[in-house]
Amino acid sequence: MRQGKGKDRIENMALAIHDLGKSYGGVPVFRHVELLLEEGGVYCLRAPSGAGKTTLLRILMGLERPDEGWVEGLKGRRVSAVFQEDRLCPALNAAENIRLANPGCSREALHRELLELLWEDSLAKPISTFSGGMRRRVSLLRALLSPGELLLFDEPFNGLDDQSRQAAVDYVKKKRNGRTLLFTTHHPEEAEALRARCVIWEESLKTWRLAR
Amino acid sequence: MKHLAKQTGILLFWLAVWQAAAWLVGRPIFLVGPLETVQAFFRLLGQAAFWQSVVSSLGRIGTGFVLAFSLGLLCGAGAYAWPLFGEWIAPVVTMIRTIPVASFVILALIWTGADGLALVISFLVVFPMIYLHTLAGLQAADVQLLEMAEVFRIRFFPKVWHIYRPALAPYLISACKTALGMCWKSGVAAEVIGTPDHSIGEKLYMAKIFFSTDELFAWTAVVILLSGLFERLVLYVLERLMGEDSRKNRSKDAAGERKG
Repeated sequence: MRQGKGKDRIENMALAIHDLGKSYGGVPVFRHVELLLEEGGVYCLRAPSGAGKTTLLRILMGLERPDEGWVEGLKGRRVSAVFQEDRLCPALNAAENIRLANPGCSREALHRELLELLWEDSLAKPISTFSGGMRRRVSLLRALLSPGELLLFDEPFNGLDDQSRQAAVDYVKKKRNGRTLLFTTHHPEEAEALRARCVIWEESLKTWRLAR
Repeated sequence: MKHLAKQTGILLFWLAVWQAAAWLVGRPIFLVGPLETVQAFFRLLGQAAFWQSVVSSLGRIGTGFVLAFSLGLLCGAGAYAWPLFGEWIAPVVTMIRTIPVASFVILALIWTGADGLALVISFLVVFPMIYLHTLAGLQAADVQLLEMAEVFRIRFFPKVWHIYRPALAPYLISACKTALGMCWKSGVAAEVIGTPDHSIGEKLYMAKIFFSTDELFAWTAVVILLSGLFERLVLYVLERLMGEDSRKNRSKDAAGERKG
């Protein structure tokens, strides 16, 4: 992937996506994607399944290469992610999983943060004993407490009940600390709660564009 | 308790059958019973040559195992990290696996003489098993966790310890269980052919020469005992190092997928 034509990023832009395209087996997932994401902005990718939301995030995470186009603003930048799956080490407890991604996080501070979304009696237990919702919250905590400058969250509130969803949304607002956030969701209320600008899917053109 | 009583009962039954068969045959050259075997065993225990042979064979076979385990682990990891290395070493591994142990015994006798024979054979039996299982175990590491490690820039050693080690553990433990038994059987067989001085194989051979069937049985029991103890020791160390996470991982399937 080409990254920046001689300069790291366009001024005030966290990410500049140019003419991005990706196909699988000759079938285009998306093409000619042109997006400019402002530094510190919150953006929400909304589209039906199969529109390549996860693929776009994976390209930005550096896990896949696009077939066409390039992205400016990724070079030398740390990314924090919430994946579609929780991707936690099952034998480790919540704090150990988070410290794996962020070894610099102090134990006391981490303990305080964990209590924002989890209960005290769950903290010593391995992730393998956690419910789906608890794992999701740990996954979210890991991403927000890691030093990534760019936050890429794939359906971060999936599997949470209404009460924990609200707590998780509030926690994202509190811990984003001005970092650029791009997330996917099927729920418009999550985009509203985070005051996100929507990136919408144009089925006829098979591309993404910022909603006006 | 009931299970133990049942097992003891079964064992006593077969020992009785063995003793009865020995009495019926009535010729100790062909078959000795458990009582004569135990008597021969205790007679051997009092001899310095017995301990010298045990230590010597244990040393040779154990060294062969440890060397093969270390090199197998290293080469398996190398083949995982650099597939070209894997392709390069593959014919050697296939050759070691397919050539009969008997041919290696003769070759090793020519190359190293009788003294190093058990070590070489134990090494050649164990190395391919550890190599192939290490490679398979590392390839079985969770791709999703590896991607997570890449995105969060998790350092090399934590990644090895928390992602590769739990994936490798069941493969390595299973390989060791098979390899430990095999290395003792082929190691002692090689000693019988090469008859190095002060070795269990030599003592088995001498028992055959002098028609000391009771000693042949006693030495066989010694091999089974040593092999069992060596296996327990190696697996204990290995499970302490690697088993904890794999045990926890197994509980994931039972408890992990509850809805939240």
